[in-house]
Amino acid sequence: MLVAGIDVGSRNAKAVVMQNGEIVSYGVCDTGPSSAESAQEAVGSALRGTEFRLQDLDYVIATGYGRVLVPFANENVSEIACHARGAHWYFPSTRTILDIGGQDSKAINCNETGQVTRFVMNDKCAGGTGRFLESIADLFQVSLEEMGRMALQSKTVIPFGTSCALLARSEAIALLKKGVLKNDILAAIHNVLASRCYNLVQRVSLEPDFIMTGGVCKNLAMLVKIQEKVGREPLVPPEPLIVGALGAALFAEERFAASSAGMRPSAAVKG
Amino acid sequence: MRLPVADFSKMDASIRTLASIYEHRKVSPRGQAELLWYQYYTQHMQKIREAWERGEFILSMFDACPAEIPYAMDLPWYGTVVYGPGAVAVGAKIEEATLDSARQVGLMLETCSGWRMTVGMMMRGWYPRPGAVVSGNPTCDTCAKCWPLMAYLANVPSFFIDVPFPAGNERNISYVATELAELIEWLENVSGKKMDWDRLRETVELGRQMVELNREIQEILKARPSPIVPRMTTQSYWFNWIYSGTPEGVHFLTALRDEVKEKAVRGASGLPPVKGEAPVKERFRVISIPPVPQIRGKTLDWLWREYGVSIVVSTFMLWPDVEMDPDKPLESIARKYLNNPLIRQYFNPCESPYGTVTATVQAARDYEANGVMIWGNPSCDATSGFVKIMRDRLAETGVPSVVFDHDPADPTYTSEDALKERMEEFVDLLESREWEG
Amino acid sequence: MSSTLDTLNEFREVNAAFPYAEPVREWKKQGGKVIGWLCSYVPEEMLHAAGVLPVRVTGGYGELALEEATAYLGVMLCSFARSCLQLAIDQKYEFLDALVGVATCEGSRHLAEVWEHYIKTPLLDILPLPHKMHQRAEEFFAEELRRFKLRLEEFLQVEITDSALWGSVALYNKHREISRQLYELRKADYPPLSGTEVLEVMNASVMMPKEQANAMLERLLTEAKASGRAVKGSVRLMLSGSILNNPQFVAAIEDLGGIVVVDELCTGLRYWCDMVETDGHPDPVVALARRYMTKFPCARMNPFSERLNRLLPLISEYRVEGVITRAIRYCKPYIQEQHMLKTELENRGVPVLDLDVEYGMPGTGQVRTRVQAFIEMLLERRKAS
Repeated sequence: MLVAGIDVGSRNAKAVVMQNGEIVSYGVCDTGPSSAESAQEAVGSALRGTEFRLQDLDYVIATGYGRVLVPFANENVSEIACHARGAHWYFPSTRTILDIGGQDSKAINCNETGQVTRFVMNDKCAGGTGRFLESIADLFQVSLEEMGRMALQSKTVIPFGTSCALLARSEAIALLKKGVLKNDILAAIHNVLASRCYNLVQRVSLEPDFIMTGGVCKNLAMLVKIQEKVGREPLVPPEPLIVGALGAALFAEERFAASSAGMRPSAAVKG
Repeated sequence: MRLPVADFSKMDASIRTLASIYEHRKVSPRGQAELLWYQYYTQHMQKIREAWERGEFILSMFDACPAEIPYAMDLPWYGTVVYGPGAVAVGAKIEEATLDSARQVGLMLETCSGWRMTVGMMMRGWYPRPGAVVSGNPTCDTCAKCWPLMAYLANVPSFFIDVPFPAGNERNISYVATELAELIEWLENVSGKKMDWDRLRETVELGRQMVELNREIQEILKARPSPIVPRMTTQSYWFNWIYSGTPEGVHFLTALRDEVKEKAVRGASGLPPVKGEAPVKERFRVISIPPVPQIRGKTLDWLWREYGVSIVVSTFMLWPDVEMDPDKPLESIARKYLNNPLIRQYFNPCESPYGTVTATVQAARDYEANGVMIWGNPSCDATSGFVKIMRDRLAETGVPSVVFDHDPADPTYTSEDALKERMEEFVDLLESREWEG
Repeated sequence: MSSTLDTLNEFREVNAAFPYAEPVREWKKQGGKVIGWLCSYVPEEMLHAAGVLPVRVTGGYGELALEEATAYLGVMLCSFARSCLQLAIDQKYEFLDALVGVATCEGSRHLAEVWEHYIKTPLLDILPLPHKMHQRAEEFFAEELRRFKLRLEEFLQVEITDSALWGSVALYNKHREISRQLYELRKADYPPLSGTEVLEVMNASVMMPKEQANAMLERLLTEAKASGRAVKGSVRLMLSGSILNNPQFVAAIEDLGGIVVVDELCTGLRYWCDMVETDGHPDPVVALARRYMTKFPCARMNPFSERLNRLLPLISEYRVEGVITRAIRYCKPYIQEQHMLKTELENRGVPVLDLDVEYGMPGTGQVRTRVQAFIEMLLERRKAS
């Protein structure tokens, strides 16, 4: 049984290929204007160097923003269910997941089988998402990783607005103009984002083990700040970006097994 | 959700700060009224602290409710606003943590930060856990919902004083008076304390005196230059609520009246000159609506010293004549409650004779104001609902206005620099009109 | 889904010409007067008894650009109020002869004030509305209705007789009864109507004479029962919260596999669910005041338990598996009760999905993701139990 999960996010498209419960390979690419093409590219890059081709896949499940626009997917599943399932595969002890995505961040509780029991997504404003952090990285002309390193070097806590992400950006500009140290501003920015994310975690229930996923995990300062707020060290999967796609692949295995056994696929939501 | 019972670290810090300001002012006084304000503000908190230590029943009440009732029942109570967001002004540093807590129960930018902070204070345990919560719906939807939410979170009973809109509806007096009668009965049940009706009648008489003093003060404030410090327009406003119908209230307002009167007679500015420098000049007279945010007291001192812009009055200081009869205590208290300038102006149609637009246009005339300063708290529906009409009406009478995109309690919402810039633009506008004559 | 019902299409035609719908046009052509009402706390019966056509003022069935309305009302005032004002600014409500507001919430009250100032449709009243649901509030409201009645009589130069009022009460009660029967059909495993369709029907029925609406509703009932239609859904949902008019929002939920079987909305169940008592009331105004002050409350009423106690029985009656609570930006009463509602429902084992959206929003990508995940979660839950 050869399956794939594809996660077409707002920033990247990710694909994971699985065979009999093991990851064969994975691929990541930037999301282009067409979700279908991005999905194709991601799965193509995952298959490159393997013996398999697209048509060899028995079952494909798409997730993420572009999930309904993947023509070769058999089904789609929400990224919430997929993240829970993927995180649970890496760490069966997972009960709380924080995923900081490009457009949406989410906190999820799951049970011992990886099923979602509760979830919340980021609130009214765009604060608390990866995009917010990117816009700040853009402003400072540094990479996400570098930004985290700089923030960790800060020695001074500066007063900083926490009410709104848009305002936070303009405040950062004002502080830059005033000559406040970049490291200190970045530390404050990370603090705002971490508060937002912590709020999400508080609105589900913080049960161990606590897992963090998403590309933002590569930013060390975020991990440190989140740990400060949550009071618990987050477990981070070896490849935090592909957790959603992995979950989709796991669903694909399950659905394929069920359908080939003549059973009606469970939890199927046709998009 | 389980809330902590009490954490007095914030309150103790506020009390210490207030006490040290008080000591400092005692040595270098800027006026008796301000000194009393610090003394009584500290006392309001200290009394609660002591009642808690004694294990007494404590009432948590929205400040803009008739305080006469807990006073006459000898019930220790605290005003959730002056002791919550009000404490930000004395540097209690509660804003980040309380706003963060409020977000947990879904309150975000749409809910005014002052009210989010009160909910957050309760969630953090920074208020002593009350035996009961009392609130009313004037003057906004958020008032009507946040206090019941606080009671829910604290798992204590709550009473809601129902005031149908508009406040000026004559039939409201008896409706609200009956609400107050029910409140008293309810409080007797939950607290075990009894209403002292003689004392209630005394509060009515003291309340009457306070209204009279307020009316004297508002007349004196027409003097040139303005004899009041900008921040006092706010300080006196909240004081009127939390010491409503008390000897302290009369004491404070008497001191304030004497002080502004003395200055007005001398022709002195409310803002004292910096030592060794010339007295501050008044070039432009501006009305503030709502009152100057407490966190911006210093900024307005700067505006006056730098550009000669004084705050002549806040419309929330403008009391109408209120008929008060100690023999009809509940009716009198209801009447005073509904005629408090905040409720009278914000809880009537804005262009009705009592409404905020009418009151402000009239005040601009009475006080010969050069402009009106509107603190446009974006999440305040009460303000955003009338700003456009008010500005249009003022413009028709030739009075320019400015709206600050500002949060009354969260100092991080607008930076000091951005606010000053906006104020300077307004000064430019006032100056250009001066040239045009 | 099976065939479309003829009467359903008729309702859709009424909606198509929103807000100046064909029946309203027809009414005006006959020389009738039309009065707009802003909130379901306006006793429409009184307008009807005065011989005018009452029409509900809403912000329509789609998302509007609200730049102009926002300049008048502020960006954080509720998007429903701003949507209504935007349509008024765009001259879509010029056919109204007058407007009646209620001081339900600040959105409603300020909309009426700004409308009066800038739009110039005569504003007959902003009806005062107590916040508590007790006897004194009924008496208070009855007095206000008497005053309003005089004002209406003066404005229209008519007399509103008790018998006319009782007649209107009977007509509106009939509407409530037929609506109840319509909702009754939704209790079936596979209801003949989707939640989307029910909202379309409810939208249309406040834009035409009630006599006509009742006749159409009765036909729809007969047709729906006879059609053998069965709308299938994977999970049974309740939709609760702020005012909703856009059927596309419900459609987005139902496209994802759920079926909305009941609602707690002022444009749905809360509009029709309480009768005016006709027995033992000598005075129709007293009967009206009682109905409006004791009906299934909006979140603006106090205490919250009044609303909760009306909402809870619906969960079992309609076999609801999950509740979607939808607060519009920035509807303070619903947002500020959200935590209590969610806690109380979850404590009773009912999962809740809270959404915050703009008033006119259809199902956007973000909404779809949340709803899909919620439905998946409910299905897993069902499998586990």
